[in-house]
Amino acid sequence: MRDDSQEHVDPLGMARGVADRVLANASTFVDEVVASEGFSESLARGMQGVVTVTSALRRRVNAVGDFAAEWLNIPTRRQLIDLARRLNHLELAVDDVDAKAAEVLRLLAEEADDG
Amino acid sequence: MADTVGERVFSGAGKAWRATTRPFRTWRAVSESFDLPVGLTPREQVWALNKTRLYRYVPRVPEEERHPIPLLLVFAAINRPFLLDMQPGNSFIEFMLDEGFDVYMLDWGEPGPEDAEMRLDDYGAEYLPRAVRRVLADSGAEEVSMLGYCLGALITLLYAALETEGPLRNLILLTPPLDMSHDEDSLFSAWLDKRWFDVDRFATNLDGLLSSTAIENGGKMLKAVANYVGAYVNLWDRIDDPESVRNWQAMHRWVHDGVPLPAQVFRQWVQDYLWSNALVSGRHVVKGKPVRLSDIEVPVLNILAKFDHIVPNGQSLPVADLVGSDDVQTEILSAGHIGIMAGHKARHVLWPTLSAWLAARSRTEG
Repeated sequence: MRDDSQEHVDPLGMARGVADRVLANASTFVDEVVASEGFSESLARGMQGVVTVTSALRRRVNAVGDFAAEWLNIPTRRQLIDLARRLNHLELAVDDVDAKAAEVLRLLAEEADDG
Repeated sequence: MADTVGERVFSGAGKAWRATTRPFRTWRAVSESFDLPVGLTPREQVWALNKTRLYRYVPRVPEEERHPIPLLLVFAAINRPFLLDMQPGNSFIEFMLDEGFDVYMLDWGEPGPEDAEMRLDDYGAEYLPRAVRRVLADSGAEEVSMLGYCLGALITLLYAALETEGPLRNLILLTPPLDMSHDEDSLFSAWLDKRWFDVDRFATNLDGLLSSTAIENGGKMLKAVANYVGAYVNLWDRIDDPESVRNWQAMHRWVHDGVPLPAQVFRQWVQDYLWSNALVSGRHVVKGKPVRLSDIEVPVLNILAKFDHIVPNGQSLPVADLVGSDDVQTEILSAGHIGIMAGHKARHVLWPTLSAWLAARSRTEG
């Protein structure tokens, strides 16, 4: 006969409880570590180191790419970026002209309504 | 009524099957999250400039029942804006459309290396005024309300302070990272302290853009265990609830679908905002014009998340004292930085608060 009042042993539940406690403690510990001055300084210096190294590598890769592009007589990455930047400026200028044209049209319409 | 032996066997077998397959279902839910359709509320693009896109959402109530002042949503430039439109039935934009607002959204897009020289000021002084003009032209309205979220709130503050004669009618700020003098709770202030962080050298070596991965991990490290482990434990727990899993997937996709930031924007944010607090101290100048927050006289609703670890409350609270408006309301809601907009309580807490405040201030005179 089944005894409903008896608690069943749930090994998964117990493991989960332990895991939750480990996570909570780890969270408190890690939060304290990342808030420490030592970590902040290490992180900042580490980020700068990584960016400096990758930047040097990227410059070399870009130099090879530029050399290959020139040899193939196609635009280099730098030239394409400059072109895209100029197109952006052009787009802004066109938007300004469009705004002025819309304002002129609005004033003309107002004048026509008044007249 | 007691279960029969057969029912108990089937029930036990079902539980065993679900328990056995739980790891695979969890893994599948994670991998499928990257392809989850999001931002599905119907919309049309009304303007584009460089990578920026302006969308108008298809209204859901008849024109005569709509509020006459359109609402422009300005999201942070470091994330995709679909956080505002996650899933049908769980979408802030959908909610505001149902409340009768004419909703526009500005998507900053994904910058390329050609945008490396863009500054934070450019968003507020170059792009946003143009977008506002398009909203007015498209809607036929003479005024516009604006909602800025996080970095987007900073951009809308810049705009509001610079365009004091402009058509801005109402300003809603969600967790604005404004006053950096309250840096005691901000880990970003500690990590990027000028004692050990050379932002000029860092930005110069970035090759134009700060990667979205760096931004994502910077945000996650604020609550490392919760973000790197806890989020997946959370999914494991709710894997048998399809709706809950879908919401988790949408959020997971959003977190992992960031956009890079132009190096100069990062440099300016660190130097002018984080270190100098120039906007608050009134020393910030854009295009030769000083930015004075006290010039902002439109109604302002400033909303903070009580458990915000990304933008601590101390950074957002001073808004009420800094703007010149007589109509400033500050609300501190019981949520986190993201949960305030996309959490399961947002529909019942934040969204109705915004809608009610805005509706009361969206009537035209006469």
